[in-house]
Amino acid sequence: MKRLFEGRMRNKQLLSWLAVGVLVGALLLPLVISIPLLAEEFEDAALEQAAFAEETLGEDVPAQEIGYDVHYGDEGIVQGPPAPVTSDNENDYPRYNFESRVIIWVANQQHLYYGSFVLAVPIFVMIIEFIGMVTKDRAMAQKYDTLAYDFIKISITAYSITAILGGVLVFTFMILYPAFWTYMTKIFHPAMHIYVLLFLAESGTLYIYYYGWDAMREGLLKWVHLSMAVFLNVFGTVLMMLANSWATFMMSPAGVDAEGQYLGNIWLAVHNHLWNPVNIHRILGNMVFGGGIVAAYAAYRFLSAKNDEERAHYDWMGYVAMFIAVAFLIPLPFAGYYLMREVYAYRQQMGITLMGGLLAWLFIIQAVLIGALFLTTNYYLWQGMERMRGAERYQKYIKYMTFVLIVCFLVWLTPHTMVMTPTELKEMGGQQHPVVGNYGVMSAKNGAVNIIITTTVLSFLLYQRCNKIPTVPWARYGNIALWALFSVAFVNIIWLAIYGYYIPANVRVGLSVPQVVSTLSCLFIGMTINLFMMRGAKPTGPVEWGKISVRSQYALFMLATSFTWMMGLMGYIRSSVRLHWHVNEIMRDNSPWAFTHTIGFAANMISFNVLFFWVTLLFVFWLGSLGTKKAVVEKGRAAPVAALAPSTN
Amino acid sequence: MAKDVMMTIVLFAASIAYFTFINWWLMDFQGLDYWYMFRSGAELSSGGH
Repeated sequence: MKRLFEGRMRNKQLLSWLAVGVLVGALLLPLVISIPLLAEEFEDAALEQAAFAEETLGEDVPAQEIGYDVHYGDEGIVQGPPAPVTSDNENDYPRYNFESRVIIWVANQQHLYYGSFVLAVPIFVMIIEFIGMVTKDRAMAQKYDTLAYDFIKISITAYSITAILGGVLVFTFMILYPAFWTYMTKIFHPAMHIYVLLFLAESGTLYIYYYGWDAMREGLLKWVHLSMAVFLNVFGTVLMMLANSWATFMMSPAGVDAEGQYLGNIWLAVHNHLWNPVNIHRILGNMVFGGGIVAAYAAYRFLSAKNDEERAHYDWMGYVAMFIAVAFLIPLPFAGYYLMREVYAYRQQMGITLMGGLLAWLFIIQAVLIGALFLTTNYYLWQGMERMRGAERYQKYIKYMTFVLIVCFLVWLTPHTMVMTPTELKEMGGQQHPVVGNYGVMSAKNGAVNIIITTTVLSFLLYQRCNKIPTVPWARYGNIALWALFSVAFVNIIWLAIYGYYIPANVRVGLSVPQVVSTLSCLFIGMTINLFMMRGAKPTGPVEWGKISVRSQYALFMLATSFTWMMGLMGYIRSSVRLHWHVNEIMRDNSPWAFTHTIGFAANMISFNVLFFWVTLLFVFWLGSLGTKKAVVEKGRAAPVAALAPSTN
Repeated sequence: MAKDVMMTIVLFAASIAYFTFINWWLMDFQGLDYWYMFRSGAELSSGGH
C-alpha cells in the first residue's frame, strides 16, 4: 500500500515537473521564434529580395515603390495603400442620430476599465499566492491563499465582461468608423491575429488557474499552479502592450510613410515613439486601479459583514489591496512625467497642447484628484492606527502632517493662469495673480508633490512601527537617523523648488530628478532603517483586524472612485491631444465631431463612464459574494500580516 | 548625552552631504550645472510654467 502511494507520489511529482517544463518552454517559445526574425531586419531582407528578383528576372518585375518611415526615417517597400482621405458622409462615417464619438468613447472606456482590472488582479494574485507558499506559518499561508483566491474570483466575472465589451468595441469601430478601422487593420492585422491567439491562451490559462485552485493546492502541483499565474500575466501584459501600440500609433505613428503607406515592418509600427512610455504608465496605472477596486470590494464586504471574523478578514483584504494600490501609486507620477517628457520630445506642440494649452485645465483637475488620492491614503493609514495599541505615541504628529499635506495640496492645484472676464483681468493686472500665481509654476508644483509623497512615506513608516517598541541597542541612533533623513529631505526638496526660481528654464527642468531621488531615498533608506530597527521589537499589542472605523472604509471607496475618475480623465486627455486627426498627421478626422469638447462636457462624460462602470461592478461584487470561501481565522487569534503590515512578534 | 549630540551632528551632516551629492551628481548626469546660480549670480526668474 505504502509502495503504491509512494509510486503515485513519484508519478505526480514527475508530471508536475513536466508541466512546469512545458509552461517554461511555452513561455520562452515566442522569444526563440522572434530572435532570428528580429535579427533579420525585415525591410533589409525585403529590399535585398527585390534587388535579387530584379537582377535575375530583368525588366519583367514591376517597379516597387520605396517609402521613408515618417518617424524613424528608414527606407522600406510600400506594402499598403495610403491613409484614406475621408469626408463627412454616411459612407465614411455611418451614424445614428447621436454623436458617434460619444458612443465609441463609452465603449472604449468601459472596455479599458474592465481590461485594466483583469490585467492587474492576476499580477497581485500571483504575488499573494507566492507569499502564501513561502510563509512558514500554516494558518497565515492559508489566509494568503484564501485572499488570493478571493481576488481572482472577483476578476473571473469581470473577465467575461471584458471580453463582451471588447466585442462591443470592435463592432462599434467597424460600424461607426469603417474607413479608419480598415486602415488600422491593414497595418496591424498580424498583431491583431497574435492578439486574438493570446486572448484565447489567456482565457484558457485563467480558467484552469481558477478552477484548478483546489485540485492543485499541495506540493509541487502548487508550484505548477503558480507557474500558470506567471504564464497568465505574461499573456495579459503582452495583450495590453499590443493594444497600447494601436493607441500610441494613432498619436505617434511609425512604420508608415508620410502618406500613411505601410512599409512592411510591423515592429516599427508597434514600437512607435510613445509605446514604451505608455506601456510603463499603464502597467503601473492598472495595478493602482486594480488595487483600488479590490479595496472597494473589501470595504463593501466589510460594511455588510455579519460577524467579527468576516469583518477582520475583509479589513485585512482592504488593507492589502490598498497597500498594493499605494505602492504603485508612488512611482506613477514619475512614469507620467516620463511619458510627458517623451510627448514633448516627439512633438513639442503636442506637449504644449496638453500642459500649457487647450487641455491644460484638465491637468488642474488631475492635480486635484492626485492630491485627494494622497490625502485619502494618509487618512486611511491614520485611521488604521486604531487597530493597534501603542499608536497613541504617533497620533500627535498627524495634525502637522495634515497641515503639510494641505498646504502642498493647495500649491499643487494652483493654476498658472485663470480664465477671466476682461474686467477681472484688468483688476488683477494680468492673467497671473501677483501672489498666488507664483505657486502655479512647475518649480513650486514639483516641490509640493514630492513633499506630499514623502509625507505619505512617513505616514506609512509610522503605521508600520506604531504597535512596536524597538529593542535593538542602536534604536536611539536609528531614530536620529530617520529624523535626519526625513527632515533634510524635506528641506532639500523645498530648497530645490525655491532654487528653480533663480535659474533659467533649461537648467531648472533638471532639478526634478534630484527632487524625485530625495523622495525615493526616504522611501528606500527610511524603510530599510525602520525594518532593521523593528527586528525583535517588543509588541505593544496585536493588530486587531476589523477594529477600524467605518469612515476608513468610505476612504477606500473614495480611493477607488478617484482612481476610476482619474483614469477616465487621463484617457480622454491622451486621446483628445490628437485634435482633428484619427492618426496624428497621417489620417485626418473629417467627421462632424472632430472638435475638442468643452471641459464641462468632458467631465460629465467621464462621470457617466465612472457611474456606469461602478453600477456594473456592483453586479460583479454581488456575484462575488455568492458562495464566498470563508477565511480561516482562528478564534481569539489575532492575525499578523507578515511583510505587509506591522507584525505582533 | 555627549554621544547623542555627537551622533545627531554626524547623522545630520551625513544627510546634508548625501543630498548635496545627489543634487550635484544627478544634475551633472543630465549635463546641467547644479551650481549655476552661484557661478552666474542670482537673478529671479519665472519659476517655470
